[in-house]
Amino acid sequence: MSRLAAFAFQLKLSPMPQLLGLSAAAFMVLGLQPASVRISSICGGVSLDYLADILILEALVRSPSALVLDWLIMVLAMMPPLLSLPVSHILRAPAKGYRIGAACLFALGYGLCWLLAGAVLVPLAFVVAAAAPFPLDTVASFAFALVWSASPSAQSARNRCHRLRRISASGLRTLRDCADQGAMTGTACVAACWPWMIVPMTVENLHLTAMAAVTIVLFAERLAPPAKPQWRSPPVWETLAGFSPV
Amino acid sequence: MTRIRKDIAKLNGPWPEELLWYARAVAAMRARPFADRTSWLYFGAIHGFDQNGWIRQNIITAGTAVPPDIEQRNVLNQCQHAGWFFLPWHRGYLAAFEALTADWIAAQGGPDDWALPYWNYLDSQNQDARKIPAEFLADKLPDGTDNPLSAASRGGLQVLGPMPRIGIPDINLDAQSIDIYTAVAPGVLGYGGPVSRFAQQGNSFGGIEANPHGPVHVMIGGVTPTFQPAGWMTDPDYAALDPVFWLHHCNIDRLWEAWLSDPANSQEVSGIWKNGPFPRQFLMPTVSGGIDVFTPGETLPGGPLAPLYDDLEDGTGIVIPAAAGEPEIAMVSSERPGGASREMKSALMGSNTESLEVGDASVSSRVGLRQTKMAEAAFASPAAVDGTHIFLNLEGVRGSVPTGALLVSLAVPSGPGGDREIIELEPVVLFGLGKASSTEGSHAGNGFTVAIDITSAVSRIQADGRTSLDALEVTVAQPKGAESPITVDRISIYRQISD
Ligand SMILES: [Cu+2]
Repeated sequence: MSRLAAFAFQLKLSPMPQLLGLSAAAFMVLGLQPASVRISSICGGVSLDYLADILILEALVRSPSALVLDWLIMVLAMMPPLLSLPVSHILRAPAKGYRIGAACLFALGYGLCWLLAGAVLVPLAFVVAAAAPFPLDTVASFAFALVWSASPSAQSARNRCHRLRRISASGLRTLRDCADQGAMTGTACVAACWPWMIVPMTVENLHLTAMAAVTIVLFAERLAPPAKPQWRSPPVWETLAGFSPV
Repeated sequence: MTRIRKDIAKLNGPWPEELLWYARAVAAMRARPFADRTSWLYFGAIHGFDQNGWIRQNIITAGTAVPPDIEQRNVLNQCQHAGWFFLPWHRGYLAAFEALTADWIAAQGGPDDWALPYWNYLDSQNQDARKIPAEFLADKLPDGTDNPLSAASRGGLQVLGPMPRIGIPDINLDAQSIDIYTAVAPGVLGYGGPVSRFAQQGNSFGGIEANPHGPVHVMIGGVTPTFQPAGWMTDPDYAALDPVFWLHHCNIDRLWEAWLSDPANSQEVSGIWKNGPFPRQFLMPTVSGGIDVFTPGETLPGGPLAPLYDDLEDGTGIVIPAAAGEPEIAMVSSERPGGASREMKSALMGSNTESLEVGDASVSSRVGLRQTKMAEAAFASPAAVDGTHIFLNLEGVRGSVPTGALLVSLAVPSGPGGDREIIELEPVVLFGLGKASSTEGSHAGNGFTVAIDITSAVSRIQADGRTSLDALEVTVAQPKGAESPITVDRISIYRQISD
């Protein structure tokens, strides 16, 4: 009981409620969106024979902006709960009057990382989806993500998610510093989470459910404390164990 | 069973019963193997454990069976520093240690109300207060056998006091007058620390942890000329192996208990503090070798882990109101961190523009002050007219030495007569800097942020007839001989506003 309370209180500490709100809003947008513009529905229709064929061409030529938008909303739905530490830092460090600017520039730096990552990850998801029929593609990408989470490289990336940089008190430098912090956190985040992002893209029908499940896994990973980079059990277990008294 | 913790100086020494029994219990715990949860080594490792370091220092050998991996991750390396769990975690740690020791003593036919004594080093009525109690220095027990209480690596002082060569300031009770537990707002100093997660080395010390806690550790442990720990007390991975650690922390705990008993102070009582961190939790061995959880809420007055002291006034800087009973603090619960009764706010008045690297030479940096109404008001009528405090912050202080120190001084760019006045501030002790800066282990690696109250220094500048200030020059140096650099991300000045 007290372990649940300890967890619940973590969610109440600012800026976590705002970040959770952002995430929930993005999930709602995705829920209301017509399914045809989703990456996951393209993945659902793709097969190896046609990989370089019309589906992708169609996706990339006819509606690239819809693809990009879908990807960014997906990131916006899944990532905010992981960002309370750096966001709190960029909101607290500058002088009064810089909070909105700081938040925007952080989001810009952070979003840019995922935008670039999307240029690789979305096509990669097509390849994975094309290489194996559902649910084999999902199972395979899930298994890979789990192994990745256990690896020293992923741990070292997760450690970097805790890193905070200098934020200037005022002026343009503040904005630049916040963008830098965003890029720094973004790079670490992409490195830690990238295989997990492929998993829900391979799920067509229960896409949002899969996204929510992965979001919970990533959030649990983020709650686990930093550790020495070495092979380990995926940190999600460590967080789950936190619920059990002793 | 009521255990009352007593002042070691008021016991019937030399070698009062309480210490003789303590010595025997230490010897008994030392005889147990490391993996035994009731052993001396296990308790030391709960605070901090560095396997290779322990082997190098012959505390264990390469062949010593260590606790299993999962237990190392959950129970060892647990000490909470530089955050708001420092006081409650150490209180729970003392309670577990005391329960175990007392149980053994009672089983051996000793007193059944044995309690951990405290070392009241800031008792101004006792001339010898600052001397390490003689029982912790003697080679032999009265019966001629080896004394387990002096069997510790120590390279510091035998009488607590400043160590100017290495930048360790004298100990004092200044922290006892900080009236809010949590530094909720940025850039200010709370009694117990800022909001933090599970953090063996968090970001920022509370007042009581910064002084006297940290300096006492370094005064006893000492450092080498190149700033490596000379004795166990200087390094959190070894500190609790020294039997004097427990008496030092017992006094720190008592200072908190005294602070709690003053109704003017506001203790942290939010749910997030009381329930403790997540996912790691606070775990302690039980008397029978099991493992038990505790929460910070349980350490507050009225809770199962609240201690009892013979006296809360001598050497605590607190005067207990005549009618004071049990503090009722634990009954109040607040939603938000920071205490139910008061809100703490702060404003950033200015900061320097570049990060600094402090090597063997001193480094100066200009802290520009924003020309806002706030800055003007603060510098026109400073000095706690309405409880206002001004803090100099050294943010993101990183370095690789286990414990470091920084000498800090303030200068006004130029005085009325054209000459510069330099105000030396109290040196900053960075107990556990290496751990706090490490990115390889279980630490975020963001180093420390240190808030220094400069209200009185600013008053002095004001007294010189200055009406406004657009900048302060801050000079930071390491004590002579320090070999590895310490970096400082940002130097800033904050003003605390109390409602
Ligand atoms: Cu300590």
